[in-house]
Amino acid sequence: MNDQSFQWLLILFMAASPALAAPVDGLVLIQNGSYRPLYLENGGADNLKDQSTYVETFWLDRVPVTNRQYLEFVAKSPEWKKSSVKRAFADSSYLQHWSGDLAIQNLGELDSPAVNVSWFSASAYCESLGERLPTTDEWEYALADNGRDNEEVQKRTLDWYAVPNATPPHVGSGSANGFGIFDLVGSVWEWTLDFNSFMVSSDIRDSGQKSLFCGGGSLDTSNPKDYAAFMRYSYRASLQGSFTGKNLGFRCAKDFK
Amino acid sequence: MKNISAIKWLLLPLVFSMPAFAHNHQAEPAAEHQSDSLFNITDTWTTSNEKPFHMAELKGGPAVIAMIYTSCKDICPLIVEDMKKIERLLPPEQAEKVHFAVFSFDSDRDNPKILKEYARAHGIDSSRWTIARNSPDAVRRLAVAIGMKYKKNKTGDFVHSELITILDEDGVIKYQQSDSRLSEDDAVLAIKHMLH
Repeated sequence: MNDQSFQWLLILFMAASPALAAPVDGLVLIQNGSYRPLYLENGGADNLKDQSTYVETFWLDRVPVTNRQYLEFVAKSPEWKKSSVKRAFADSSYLQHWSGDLAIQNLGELDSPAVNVSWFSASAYCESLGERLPTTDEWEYALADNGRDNEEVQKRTLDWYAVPNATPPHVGSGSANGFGIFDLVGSVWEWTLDFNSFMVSSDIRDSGQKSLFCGGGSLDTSNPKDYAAFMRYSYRASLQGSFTGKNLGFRCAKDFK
Repeated sequence: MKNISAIKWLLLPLVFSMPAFAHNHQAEPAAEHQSDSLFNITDTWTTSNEKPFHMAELKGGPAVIAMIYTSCKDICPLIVEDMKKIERLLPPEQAEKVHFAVFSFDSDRDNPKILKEYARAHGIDSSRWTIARNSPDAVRRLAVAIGMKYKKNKTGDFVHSELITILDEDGVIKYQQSDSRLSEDDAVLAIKHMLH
């Protein structure tokens, strides 16, 4: 048995070991409600009361998907091995922190968020469980947490954004928010289903490029002081579906029906 | 349960050490496309003629593609007009080698009948044109693959970027025009270059 296959066996044993499994994974039911997104559908006629977005009840992963879980997925889905993934669906940094198709370089990261994954691969992971990525509205609604500790969350978010490229901690190592959700801030950036939503800043809106709009809607920022949210929206807008990053992970969601 | 899953994991390395066997089982292996080709997207679209359509059917010649929705009154007709202009600017013997494909992102409203009317009204019902619809998931996949941004608003209309994408014969993105003010001449040059 050569070194590499020994490493595989070790990892596969660890993946099957119940004692080491993260205690906090699984979906949490998020009750329906409204939140005030950074970007609003304005359309000119809306009054303040309408400037919130309604989100249906949905299921959301308590913690981001871990390397351990993603490894199990790749073991079952060879098209998502780093050696065979299509470049149309993931760039050349895909799973670059893994030492092989089914091996991670640093075993200490097994319970850390799976990073270096593209939108296509993250979507495929969720679909393999009958789930999907959360929409941007769902993700932001979960973070908004019905306004609980609003300023504290914003401050923590900005503190985190200010630290470049810190290694993500194990999932669930922070504290849960009011919905029982962990790690929305302080861990990794996360893919959303509709990260490619069309968002326009007020700068563009004011520049006279009315022709950009179809259907007469326009978008506006609700709280220019919410720099943390602005950074998230800007970050998502900068992504392409095949991009991967060492601080970009994901969690899954599901319709409630 | 735990023991069974442990045994399964033990067996996995054995399974992966025999990839050749798995391949031999397939009577007709799926066509291999270039790694960065959009033909790797396997969703089945439905055309205005109610025929199934796959991205890989664009293989063989350059393809000019765009995403629109038919009840869009402002930008979308301009996108289609730009595509038609590209078609007109090409010498006829080159134009006939190019496939023009329009994909709707309005899964709710754009059924084949509506797409057919739209194609007729805009004079894009010749055999070198395809106009097709699909589920929201498949629409999202194509939009993400070509870098198209869109969002459905509360009225059911969409805000979206305007984008014309040109694929080479292998389905790889070779040229993108993301503002109607850009010259169609560049798109035409890109196509002529591919046909050389």
